[in-house]
Amino acid sequence: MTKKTVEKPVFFLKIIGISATSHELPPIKTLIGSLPTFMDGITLVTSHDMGTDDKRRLVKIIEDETMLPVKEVKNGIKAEKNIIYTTASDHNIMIEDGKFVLTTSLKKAEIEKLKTSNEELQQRNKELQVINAYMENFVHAVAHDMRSPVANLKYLTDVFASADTEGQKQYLPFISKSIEKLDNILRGLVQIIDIKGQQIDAEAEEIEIGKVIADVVDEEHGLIADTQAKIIIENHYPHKFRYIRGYLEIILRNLLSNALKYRKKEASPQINIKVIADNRDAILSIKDNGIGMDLVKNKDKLFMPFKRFRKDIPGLGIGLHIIKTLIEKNGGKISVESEVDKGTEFSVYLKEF
Amino acid sequence: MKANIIMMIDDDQDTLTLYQLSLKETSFSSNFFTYDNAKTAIAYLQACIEKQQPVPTYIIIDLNMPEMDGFQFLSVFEDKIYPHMPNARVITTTSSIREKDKEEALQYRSVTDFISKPISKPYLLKLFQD
Repeated sequence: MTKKTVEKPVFFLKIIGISATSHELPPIKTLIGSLPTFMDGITLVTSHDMGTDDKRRLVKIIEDETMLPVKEVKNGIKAEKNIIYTTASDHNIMIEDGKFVLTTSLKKAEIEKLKTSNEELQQRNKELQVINAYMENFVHAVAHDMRSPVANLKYLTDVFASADTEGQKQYLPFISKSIEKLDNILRGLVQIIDIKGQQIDAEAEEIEIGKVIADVVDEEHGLIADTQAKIIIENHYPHKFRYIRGYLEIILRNLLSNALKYRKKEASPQINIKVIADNRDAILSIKDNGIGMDLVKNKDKLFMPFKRFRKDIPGLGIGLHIIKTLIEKNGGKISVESEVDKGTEFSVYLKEF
Repeated sequence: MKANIIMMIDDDQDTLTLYQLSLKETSFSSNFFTYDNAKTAIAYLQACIEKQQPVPTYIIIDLNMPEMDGFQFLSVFEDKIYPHMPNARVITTTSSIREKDKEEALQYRSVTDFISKPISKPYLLKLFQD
């Protein structure tokens, strides 16, 4: 897999040092305070008459005080007291009473701009690192999960060859089981890839959360009627919410169908869907009275692809993985609380786009 | 010659059933038993030692399991159980192919082999008879 990273731009600051009074080297720190902190190095331009020792000391002081490396030292200017040296570079040194004063011709706005673009690049870099780490984990998890049925199939071909007809019949269910597992993983992968493809075209819009909830609940009306489920919707989000409608639908559909699917046999499901506002962000909670789960055992794996905890209830094991990816895309969060035989509550913190 | 006892620990019940099935027609099936989690396997071994019952010669364990994984099993096993059954040998298996896992597993003194799944039938049969 290729790693995508963005190179950080390199900025050099040119400091011009003059040994007007070469024994009194300047208190650079006070001057450097105004320097942009994202510089990568310094070019020092000294006067012709500055001695080698003084140059070395100046370099050391600059490096110590700016924490930036001095990459180049050149001779360039003549020493004169109380004169502002304007050079073609962006930065100038002014001498006042034998002390150095640093000025910069980079305008404040330009510095801010450079800073912002640099921060953006760093942010993008971080995002790419997260994506890289995610892809590595994902590929590893998928490969691991596919290896298991493949290993069983390998063993099966091994023992199948030497078994008699009766024995071979006994192995057949294991062959179909392994193939079914592989098929499930592949179908899950296709779904994940489909969803990732959709993400690219998806655009945020102003949506009515209450309307989207009603639509998704309506989609499930068949199962709701069959199970005699009671759905209680409380929407306290006061305005329109800027979000990608498709994402919200997928999130709600997954959580609602899970709440219905993992219901108790003996009681009809009651599902509370509640939305509250946190400034512009929305906190969505879906609480059920279903079979619940042992989070001590399963919390780490709950949102990982292809992990299933109930082999008796069908599923691919990708729903929660997909919605977590969608929710976290713009800094949202999902958390879960659950107790066996009591029920489960998912809380989703949705950020506006 | 008396055949060795082999204990297999793997969280995938299909794998365990498959191995049991493939040994059914051999004379070793009564010497082969399985556990689908490491915790109960540890409890079983402890009980064997307390009651001075025969313990397995080989323990085949999957490294990647929920709750207590193979490495956690090895720490507890070497600390509490191995001293009481010093002839035991542990074979680790995994469906991943990470070099790191192999190196780590082979550092345990009770571990004699590391095998990428599946363990073949001839290999298993040999273990009963060595």
